[in-house]
Amino acid sequence: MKNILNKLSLVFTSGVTVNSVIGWILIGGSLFALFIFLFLPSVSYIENFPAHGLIPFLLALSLFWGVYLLCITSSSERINLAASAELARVHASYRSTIARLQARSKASIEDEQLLQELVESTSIGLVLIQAKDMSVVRVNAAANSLLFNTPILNVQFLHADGGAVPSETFQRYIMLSTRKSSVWSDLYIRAPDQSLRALSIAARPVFSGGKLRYVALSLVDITEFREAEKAKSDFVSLASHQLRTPVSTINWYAELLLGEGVEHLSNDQKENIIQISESCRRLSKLVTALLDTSRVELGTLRHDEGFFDPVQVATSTIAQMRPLATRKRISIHEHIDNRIPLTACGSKVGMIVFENLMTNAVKYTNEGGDIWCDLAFDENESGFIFTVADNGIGIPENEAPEIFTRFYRASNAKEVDAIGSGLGLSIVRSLVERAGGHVKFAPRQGGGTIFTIRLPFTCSK
Amino acid sequence: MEEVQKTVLIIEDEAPLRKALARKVAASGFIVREGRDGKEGLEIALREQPNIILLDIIMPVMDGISMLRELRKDAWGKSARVIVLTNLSDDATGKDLLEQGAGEYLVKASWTMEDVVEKIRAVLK
Repeated sequence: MKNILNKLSLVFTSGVTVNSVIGWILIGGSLFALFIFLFLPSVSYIENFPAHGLIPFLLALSLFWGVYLLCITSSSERINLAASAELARVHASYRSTIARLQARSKASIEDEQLLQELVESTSIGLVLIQAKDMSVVRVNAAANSLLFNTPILNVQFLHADGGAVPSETFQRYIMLSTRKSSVWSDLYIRAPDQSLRALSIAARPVFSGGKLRYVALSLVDITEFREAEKAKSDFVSLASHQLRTPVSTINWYAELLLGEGVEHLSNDQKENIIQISESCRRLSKLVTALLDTSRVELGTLRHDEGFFDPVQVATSTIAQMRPLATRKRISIHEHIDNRIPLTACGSKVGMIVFENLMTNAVKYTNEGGDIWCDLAFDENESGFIFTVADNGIGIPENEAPEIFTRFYRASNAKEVDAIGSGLGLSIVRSLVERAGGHVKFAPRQGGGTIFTIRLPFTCSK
Repeated sequence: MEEVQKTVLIIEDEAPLRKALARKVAASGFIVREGRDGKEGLEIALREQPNIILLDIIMPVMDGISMLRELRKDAWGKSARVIVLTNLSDDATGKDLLEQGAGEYLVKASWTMEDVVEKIRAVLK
């Protein structure tokens, strides 16, 4: 009964279907006919109708049939109603998804247009190169302008001194970025008016799905920056020139005194002139060291100009030190890994750093001693380690923390070399750290020192 | 047979330095000529064709770089022996001068006059 009532309740809530229309017609027709028979006697002529006795039965049957159809309809409609709601939800969801996709697509197109505008309007030159075959995929307007519309792989890049960078070196530089992160270097190109333009070029690998796909190059015009740097550097050079001139004059006249009139001088006078001469030499060294320090501090001794070949610099530095070492009967034992590639640090940095460590080793190692030089990859092959060890006089333990401080000289070093400036190791540390590396000192077991320099192949600014 | 004395031209604007070096070089057996700037030095060089020129860089009237450039334009000057003797320690300038044919690039403050005379002898050999 409850079920029937439930179904009947749905009669008024279901939608319009064929069954429901027939049901309503049957019910309505039956009720209308019943009304006529019961309340309009004027039509009693029907009583004479031959099938008069069947009429109430047919009306009742029609009424029940109509109710039945409505009940059936309402039942099926209930199921259809649920399905319809589901379909409506699916439909709504579908429309919403389509709308979202359309919005996203529109936003994506707008984003791409914005990105395109950004790429084309920036003053930074951008070049995308396919990693597998080095073909250029994309070049923005700024890059074309900076390269004077020459395809980047055909551009003749130059070092700061005007020397040409071979194209294979440039390509090696680009591929160097694919080792880990990015590399950068400052190179020059000649403009059509023959002036030199300085470009800072950075290369960064672009991965997709975990695979190396492209190398992105960014180019920035740093000509004006370089000119300002040169002005600073020129000033320091000129200042050091002016300082050295009177030093040279004093030194040379002291030399004349010792040379020309030495026989007329007492031993004390001779000793005094020798002291003047020694002090001049010391002052001269100090001016040179201060000049280097100023260049490091002002950033005019740049670590990023050109490329630095650690193997070549280590080999030539050792060769340069050999005559002096041989004179002191010092043996230099070298172990150089020739596979070490170019680094993006400038060669001047490499020379100053290597020379300083090697000079110290030769200077502070006693006659007949040993020096060990090692050049090797670091543990994750992202840089190299240069180690200089000796069995020389060493550094007193309590003075070790001070050795990288400017003008600091270890007490035993002063005895060996009275005229050192105490700036060499501070310059080394400053240069190495500016290049993103670090320098370490450790006492050597059995006496002597071990200096270790670690420099990344991709130097930081 | 007596060996012919070689001539050394010293081009230096700092008179005390020039005089000291001239005394030392003369005492070492060379004939010395002196120029007070690049222009005067160039004129003496082209006129007297010394065996070797000691050339300063920073000088009034005409600096050492310009003097050397002008000297190299002359038929004799093209192969004249030159030692740059300066207190300017600038790598780019040094490299530029060596490329122009300067035999040596010496920083005065780091060298004694005796060393300079040794260099002269070595270059003239």
